[in-house]
Amino acid sequence: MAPDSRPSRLRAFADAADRRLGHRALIAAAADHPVPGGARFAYVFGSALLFAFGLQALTGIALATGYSPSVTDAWASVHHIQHHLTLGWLVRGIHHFGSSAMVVLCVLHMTQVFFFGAWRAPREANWWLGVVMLLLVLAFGLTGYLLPWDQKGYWATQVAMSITGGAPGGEQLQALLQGGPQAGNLTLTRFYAIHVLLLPATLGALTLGHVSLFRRHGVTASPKADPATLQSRAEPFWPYQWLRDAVFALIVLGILIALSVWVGASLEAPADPAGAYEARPEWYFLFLFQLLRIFEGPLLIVGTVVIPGLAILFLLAVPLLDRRTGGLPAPRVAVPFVLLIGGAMALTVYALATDRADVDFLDGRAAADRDALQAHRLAEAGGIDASGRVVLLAGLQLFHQKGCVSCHAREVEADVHAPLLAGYGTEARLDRFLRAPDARELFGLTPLREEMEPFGGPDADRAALVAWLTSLSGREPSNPERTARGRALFDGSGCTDCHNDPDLRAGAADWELDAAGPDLRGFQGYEWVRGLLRDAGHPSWFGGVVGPDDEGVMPAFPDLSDDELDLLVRWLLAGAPGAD
Amino acid sequence: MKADPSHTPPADPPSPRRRMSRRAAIGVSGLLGLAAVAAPAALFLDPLRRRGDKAGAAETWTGLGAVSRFPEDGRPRAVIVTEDQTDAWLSRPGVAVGHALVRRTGPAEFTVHSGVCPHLGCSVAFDPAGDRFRCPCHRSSFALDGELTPNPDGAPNPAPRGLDPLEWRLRDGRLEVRWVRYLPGLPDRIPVS
Repeated sequence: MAPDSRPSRLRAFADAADRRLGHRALIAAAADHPVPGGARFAYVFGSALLFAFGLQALTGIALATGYSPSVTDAWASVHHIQHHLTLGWLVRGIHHFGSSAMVVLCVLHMTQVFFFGAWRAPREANWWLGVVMLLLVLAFGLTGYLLPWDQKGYWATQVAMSITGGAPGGEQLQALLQGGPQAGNLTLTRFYAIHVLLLPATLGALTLGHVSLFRRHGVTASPKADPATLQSRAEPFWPYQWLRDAVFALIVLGILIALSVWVGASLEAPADPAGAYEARPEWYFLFLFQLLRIFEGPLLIVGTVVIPGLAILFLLAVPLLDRRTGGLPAPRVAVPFVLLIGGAMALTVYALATDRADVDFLDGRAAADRDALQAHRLAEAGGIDASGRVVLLAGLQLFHQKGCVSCHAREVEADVHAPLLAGYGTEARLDRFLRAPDARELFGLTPLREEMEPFGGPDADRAALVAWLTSLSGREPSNPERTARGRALFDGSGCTDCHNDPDLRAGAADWELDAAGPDLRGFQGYEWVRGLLRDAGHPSWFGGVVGPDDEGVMPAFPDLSDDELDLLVRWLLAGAPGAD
Repeated sequence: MKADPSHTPPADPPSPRRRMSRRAAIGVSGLLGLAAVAAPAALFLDPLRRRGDKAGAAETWTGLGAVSRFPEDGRPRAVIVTEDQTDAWLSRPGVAVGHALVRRTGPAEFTVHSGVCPHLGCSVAFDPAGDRFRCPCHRSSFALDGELTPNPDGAPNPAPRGLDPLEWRLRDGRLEVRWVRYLPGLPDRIPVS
């Protein structure tokens, strides 16, 4: 007995625990599980899948703490995870690339056990379980990449749902998955429930069964090895096979982290059902995607249902097609298996190569990347509103949709074109305007040309004027100490010949407001810009200069709803990002 | 854990009490299972009950803008279609639901097609180089009148039917359409329900 009684106390506690829990026998059975012929790297894929599945569960739980499944919140919450939560980009990266790793490892594992004949009696049931688990892994991928509700997920799911709906009896299945006639809120909640509850529970249960059956029947050694040698060279699982498994899992994790750091999980622009988009599924579905391009018209079903269905049936039938008790797989299963794996790989490569040579695709892809970056920047700059809109992106989209861009663009074919809006409301643009209001990109090509004289004073004076004019909007100018001088310059430089006093309060007499030039009260502030968009021909804006019915001045936009007007104004006041 | 067959007690004929109990146990367990599953299953299957709620063409006309927006050059323009939308619990005005491909061929002559690809629902775009519509996903190809047309490079054209025409009308100098989605992947036009 050692003088210190602690080890023995600890042992006594462990003994007591074991009498109650029986864990030692369980651990010993797992650790001593014999690996015939000794530990090998060929056996690592199954354990790596267990590890990857655990990793997906862990990262998934962490992601779920930041995710909100609805058409208004999904993109915003994923954007928040990616760009604001601690290591969100890394966790999302591991989860994103982890799904690819699961697919790759499934194929490697399946190929290894196929050629080792691990589907032969008495292991048929475990092969079948494995095939079902592979399908579940693919279902994980399909339900997972919709969840960010970005362009990629939205359009890929459109196609997947169309395929489902077009299959025999698929309409009901489509309704069940999609939750309604079109992709929307219920699609997200249902995909989310399937992805984080139904599939993990099912795959978890099947994994238990798969591992139990594996333990029951043991490792399947190479069919070419001599049984006596296998027996004599057998090693226990712990620590020999465990070490190899752990080394490989570490490599997998390293690759996932490296991909997260150097490539990163993509988050494309928010889903836009009305936009053009070069939709592609996740790479591991590209072979199915390519099939869809081959079959014309009524043969569509061959690509969507018949070929994938036959492939699954073949995999399930493998143990029945070759019922010998040992040896390498017979050619009648080996050849189709190789064709299946090789065919899928060839179709994947073909799809990638076709896209790489397709100029339209490359243009569309580049546009999607630009949109993604722009959505991110605008979300950072202007936030996301309760409707889930990236506020500044919505304004920019209205600028295009409502036809504003047909006049306010650099490349306009018409004789008359309106000022470029990039940098709207900024001091720099105001400074350029005071220096040369008739510059080509300002009012030089509008009926307002030659209506205002450039401010010819020294730079410092112009800067003071800019500071004061900026303060009229309610914003803080960059040099607030200059505003008083700016105000004095306004009064003393002839500005008041055309503009009324911007400091007049509401209720000013009409004669005080009859100046011809735009009313500068609240100049380039929210209400001022809003009024300008409502009716630029009103005397308070340009109507006093060119007459209210002059067709050359910006038309009124009575069609704009208050909400649209609000988005446009907010976008303008943010400097009209993306307008150039 | 493995039961040794030699230790199995000799199979006595089950007593009536045991038989009754066994039947009752199976019955009660089955009932228990059904009762537990029924309500969650019904909730999960709710979308099946709802199919057909909003069948057919939209009741409303959607404005695509002033007629003057469309030059009479027969050149297609993609126009965003917005609708007031109720999506489960959420009602939103002016949601972009898709895009229409609009060609104006005369003072009051338009052809309007849905931009939703009849193959598998991707977004169809005008291809100025080929003077046709193309789908970027699976390379479906359509002539300007919406009918199927071969791909210029001979690649298969997988679409089962031409582009879906949208009903249109002119009201107060504005072009309006009735937005309808049809099931993709079929030769016939069946509205999404």
